[in-house]
Parts: sequence; C-alpha cells; structure tokens
Amino acid sequence: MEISGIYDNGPIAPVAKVHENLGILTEGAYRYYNIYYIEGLPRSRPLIIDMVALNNAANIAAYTQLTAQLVPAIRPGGSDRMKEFLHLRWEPIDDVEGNLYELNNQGRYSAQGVFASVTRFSRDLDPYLAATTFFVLGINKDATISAYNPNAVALPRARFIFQGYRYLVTPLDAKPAVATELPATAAVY
Amino acid sequence: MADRIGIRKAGNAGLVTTTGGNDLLHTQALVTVQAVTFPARSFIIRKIMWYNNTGANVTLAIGTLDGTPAFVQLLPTIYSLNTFDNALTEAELPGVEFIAAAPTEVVGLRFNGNAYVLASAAGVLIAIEVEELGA
Repeated sequence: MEISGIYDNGPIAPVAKVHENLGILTEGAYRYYNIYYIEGLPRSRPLIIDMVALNNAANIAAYTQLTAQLVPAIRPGGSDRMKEFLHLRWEPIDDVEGNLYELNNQGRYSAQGVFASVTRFSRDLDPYLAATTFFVLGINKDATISAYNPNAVALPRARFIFQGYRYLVTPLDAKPAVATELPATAAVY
Repeated sequence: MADRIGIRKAGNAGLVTTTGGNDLLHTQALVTVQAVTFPARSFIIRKIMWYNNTGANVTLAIGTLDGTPAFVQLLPTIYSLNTFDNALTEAELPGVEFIAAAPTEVVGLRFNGNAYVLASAAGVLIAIEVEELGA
C-alpha cells in the first residue's frame, strides 16, 4: 500500500499515474479503482463560480452565509463501469469565505470542534492551497459550496475559482496488491 | 493576505476625449457559466493620465453606472488645470474594485462595473490603466 502526498505543501500533482490503482474511502470503506485516464483542469474562467448568482441573490450581506448550492462545474459524471473522479484545489477571488460540504451536508475541513473555511488568507503559509485539496467521486456524491461574508458591508459577488485534475476510474472487484490509498475523500458513509 | 495577481492593460476604450457626459473608459469582462452571469474579471484602476487644453479648468469624476442608469462616482474628483497634463499612479490611487452587481440587486446598487469619466466640460484627453483580477 502507498499513501499519496496529497497535502504536501507544493504544487498540485496527480495522486497516481495512469493504469495505477487507487483506494478511495467511500461508503464506509476503501473501494478500489484503476485509473484509465487523467487530464488537467486549469485555473480558468469556466471554473469560476459566483455564489451570489447561483443563489439568485442580490448580494451577499454583511456577516451572512449564503445557502450552500450544488456547483455543476465540479459535478462529476460517469457510470458504474467508468466514473469521473475530480481532484481539486480552490480559493475565493472576492473577499468571502467558502465552506465545502459533501454528501449529506457533511462539512469538510472539520474536526470535532471546528468547521474551517477557505479564505483569501488561505494562501499565507500554504501558497499552493494544498490544504484546500478535496475530491469528488462520480456519481451522486456531489459537493456543495456556501459562502460567508466576513465584512461589515454587503459585497456584490462571492466568486470562487477551482483547478485540479479529472480522472476516469474503473471499479475493481477486489483489493489489488498495490494501490494508492486516498484518505481525503469526503465519501465516508 | 497573498497578493492578488492580475493582468495590467490599458482601458479598453483607449484614449478618450471627454464629452461632458458619461464617457466609457473600460468595460468589464462578464461571463455566463451554468446559466448564471457574473464578472469573469473585476478590475482596479492603477493609472490615470489626462491633458487639458480646452481653455478652462475642468473637473473629472471617475465612477460607474447604476441600474437607472445614472453615474455613481467612485473616486474623488480630479481637478484638471487648463494647459496642463497630469497623472495619478498606483501609489496615489485607492484600490477601488470595479465589479458588476447581480441583476437582482436594487437599482441604486446595480452597478454595471464599467469605468466611466464624467467631465465638467468636453475636450479633455484621458486614458487609464487597469489591473484585471479573476481568470
């Protein structure tokens, strides 16, 4: 078994190579997949989403949290035989904080006593946003995002930008001899 | 806070001669993703340069338009002396971010996010440099 370096404080890189095996923690246990394909999702305009617009809101009011919304841009597809698996880092490009939920509103970046968020300060000491890494496994294990305005004034927009990799993975029936285990996915249910 | 890395460019209206009305200096880049429209790039004015040879002193107000549409001044008024040129650079300019508001915002705050100059008289030459932020 290999453990991936997904939170190493450096640039994002694929967690494994094409034709290697991945163990993804989902539905209460590590499930195993073979990587069929990988491609990059560069930081770019189609990967920006504005949570004010997605909420059909006028703005994001002072000290206010917008309702978490499904973000179709990071909604993986696939089938039981070939799944999309997204490996992403993200940050706000307006002065707002982002909270990430996966599955049944399960907050990510959380411990027993805290629910952390991704902010414009997240790059301090973590310039490659490694700690914001998250994964979304197709299908029906989608991520939702909510935005919080920490300012004393309303802001017109709450935009976030994503970047990362898209993998296509095929499920394996049994645990392979060698696989990279990913403890980071939200899918712990 | 880590630096926001942007792209420096001239205002996309280029060299503008004031008319005494709202004269466009730079248009915001909007994008529609997943059926919602928002600014792909907001921007901050980093330089303003002007020349006044109109025969009289002229005031220059820089701002955006609201949903009326009416001019909304966002930077303090510039006093442009006759026969003089002048410039304001990043060190002198506050980092006012021009950003388009949601279409559901109230009319008075529904800024279109573009930069305009409203001069007290026609004939002043003005150009700006902006830093666009986003992707």
